[in-house]
Amino acid sequence: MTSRSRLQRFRRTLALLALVLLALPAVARAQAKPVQTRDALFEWDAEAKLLYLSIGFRDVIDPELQAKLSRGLPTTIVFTAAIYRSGGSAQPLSTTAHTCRVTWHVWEEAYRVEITRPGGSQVRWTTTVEGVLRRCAEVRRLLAGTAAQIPANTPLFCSAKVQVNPLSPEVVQKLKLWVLRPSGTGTAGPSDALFSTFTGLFIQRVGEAERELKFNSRPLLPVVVRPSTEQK
Amino acid sequence: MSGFLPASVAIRERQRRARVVALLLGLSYTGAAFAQVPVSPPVDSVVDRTDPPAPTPAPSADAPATSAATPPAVVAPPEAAPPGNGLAEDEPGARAEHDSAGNGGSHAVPVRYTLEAIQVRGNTRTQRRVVLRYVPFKPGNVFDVDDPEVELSRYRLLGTGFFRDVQYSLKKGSERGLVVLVIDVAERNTIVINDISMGFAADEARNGRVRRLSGYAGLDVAETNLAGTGITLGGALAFASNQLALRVRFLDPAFLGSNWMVGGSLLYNDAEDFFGTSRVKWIDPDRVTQFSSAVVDYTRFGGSLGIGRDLSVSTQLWLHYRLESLNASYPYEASQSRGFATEPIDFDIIRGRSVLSTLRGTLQVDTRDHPFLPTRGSFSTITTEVGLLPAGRDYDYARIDVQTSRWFKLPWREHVLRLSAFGGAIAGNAPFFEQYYVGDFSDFLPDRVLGVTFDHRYPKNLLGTEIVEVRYGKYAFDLNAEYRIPLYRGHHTVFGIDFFGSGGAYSVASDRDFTHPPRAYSGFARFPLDLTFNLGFRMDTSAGGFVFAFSNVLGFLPVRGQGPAGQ
Repeated sequence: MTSRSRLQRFRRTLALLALVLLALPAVARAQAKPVQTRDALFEWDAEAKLLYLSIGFRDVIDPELQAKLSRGLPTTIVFTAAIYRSGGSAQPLSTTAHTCRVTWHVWEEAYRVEITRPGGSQVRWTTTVEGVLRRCAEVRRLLAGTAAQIPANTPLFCSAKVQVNPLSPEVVQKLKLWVLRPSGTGTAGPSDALFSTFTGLFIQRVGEAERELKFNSRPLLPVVVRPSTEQK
Repeated sequence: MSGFLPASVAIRERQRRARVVALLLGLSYTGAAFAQVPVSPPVDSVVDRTDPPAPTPAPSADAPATSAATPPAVVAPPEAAPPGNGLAEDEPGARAEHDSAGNGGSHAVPVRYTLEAIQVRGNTRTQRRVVLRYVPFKPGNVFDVDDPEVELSRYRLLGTGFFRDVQYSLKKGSERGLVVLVIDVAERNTIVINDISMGFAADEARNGRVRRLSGYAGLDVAETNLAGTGITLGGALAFASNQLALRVRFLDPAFLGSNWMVGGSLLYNDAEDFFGTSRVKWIDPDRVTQFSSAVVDYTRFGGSLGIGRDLSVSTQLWLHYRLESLNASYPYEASQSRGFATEPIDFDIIRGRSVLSTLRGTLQVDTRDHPFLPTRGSFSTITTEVGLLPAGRDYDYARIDVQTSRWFKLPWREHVLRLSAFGGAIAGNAPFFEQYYVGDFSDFLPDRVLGVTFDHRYPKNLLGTEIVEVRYGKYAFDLNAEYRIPLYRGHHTVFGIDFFGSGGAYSVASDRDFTHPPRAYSGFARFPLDLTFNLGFRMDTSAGGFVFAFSNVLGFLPVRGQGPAGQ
């Protein structure tokens, strides 16, 4: 074989490899789930000049999770949202969050619900799952922005994420290390190929959260709920 | 960007909360005054049934819908204490909801009980004491439901690999304030495949004649929870034409309930190896033949016993003692052409029976975030091994290996870069199978499986150096980089598939490569250096991690660098 034909073969191989490399991320992207869209309500308090968001996500708490709520150990539900101008830039105008920590008190036979949202936190008690859902799987008039952040009369939408039992990066790291190396109290370390494979199974589960839901709201002009005196 | 309330609004919120507190204390309060507070409706002082409904879901039965534009009616907040016997029935079939407002004050009251007992359910095979080994709580302890150890110990149990699922729950104890911690486990199949290796090799018959390509295969299987004790018992098998390797091993991760790990293995190898690169001649016993290799036929039988301990969450120390009986046969005399000069072949193993006895220490630091598809962290090991005298006087040597790998998550599309380095040196007369083998560094040659070499070929020699004259060496280094592209992430059966490409440079050498380098090489070519590349897929599955690499096949393409000088 001449050096020229070798060179041509080498070039063909390189081109093929480049094609494969270019195609692979596209395949990966194609596998990404589309983000669902749902209705939300934006309210503009013209007097306080504050934007409020109301939206529901009860579907994140399925019957399995409902059953787990009464196990006596805490379940945390975190809603985070970024507010965008419809058709605007990719930078959010503001962000907001609502967290709920639900603990069934086995002796009081009631759910303790700790809610934290912009402005502070509170503890509530309810005896029904419905009461938990109402507090933790819906947000009502959640402060989502101020006049300094949100331009007036602008269609808005939010990009939201709901996580059940989210884990902080530090906790994730600690868990993963523990799972990787439980040998101090349990089993083989990663040097032993033995467990490296299927401990990965659990590490996959120890992701950012036990359950996660992402969605966007449809673009909407905020409803003015308390017209300012000038507007009156 | 923070989504929380600006400071000015937060101050107003605190003022509003102060009014609520004042109300609780019986001070003056009017709804009109409250309405003037320019902040969101005070969720912490309003019973939910008056809240406006969220737009998407249907309003709940106990939360009648009201217009979102209508300011909510204000209801005096109920008492701040947890519900007790005095709860009013204001929900159909249920008791009232109580609120307690506060800026952290309420959070300071944790839910705590006294642990009366621990109940383990669902463990049909795993012994109860094995489960409890991972649970840091004892009956009589105060049990705080918010203690992070609760969740961590659950993941610890999952990390053993004994269980498909682990759930904690609490139930009432025999008296008020006492609880029973219930641990529900779902056991999983603990027979796992650790390794499957298959490939093609260019080997030779025992008389040194080159054969056509032959296949080789290896399988490593383990029961990780033997009889529910948490002890691992595993076995491995590798075979090729005329070669067989067997392993049995065990690991007790908590020896006699202590923090010490104890592991051991038994090995048996009936194998052969191929020496000489070109113009090989050997005499056995009085025939002079010329084939491509001189073949060593040898058996190894023995075992190792070790103890280990975690020094920290990421650091582990192991000490192993190894004792093996060796039996080798090979030509009485053999020579090869090494760089135009005819030299005797040193087989680096004692003819007939011999004993190998070593002590090995391994320090390992592991901060990877994943054992098979890491994206960050590092994995480093330092291993030293010495031949023990007088028990192992046949092979007196010392060895040190240092290896480190570090993974970097790149800022684009979750791609991962791994950089790794290896360096090792052996002093003394180590048997050849303990020395560095070029196939362990070159991706174009099959790796050793259970210590067995399947291939007689010399490395690719892409740089045209003396590396082509080397098969085993006492010094080695390797610099390697790997680029990984995630293709798939899942949660069932297949957890991840990555495409990878890797490349690096390595060197394997012996003392004589420095003291008496082959005469056919000069300058840079006298340094035994070569390049290696690989492409393929890494798959993380519920059955184990698999690598599908193309380099083994590429190694058979007739694209190779310079062959041995004497060929």
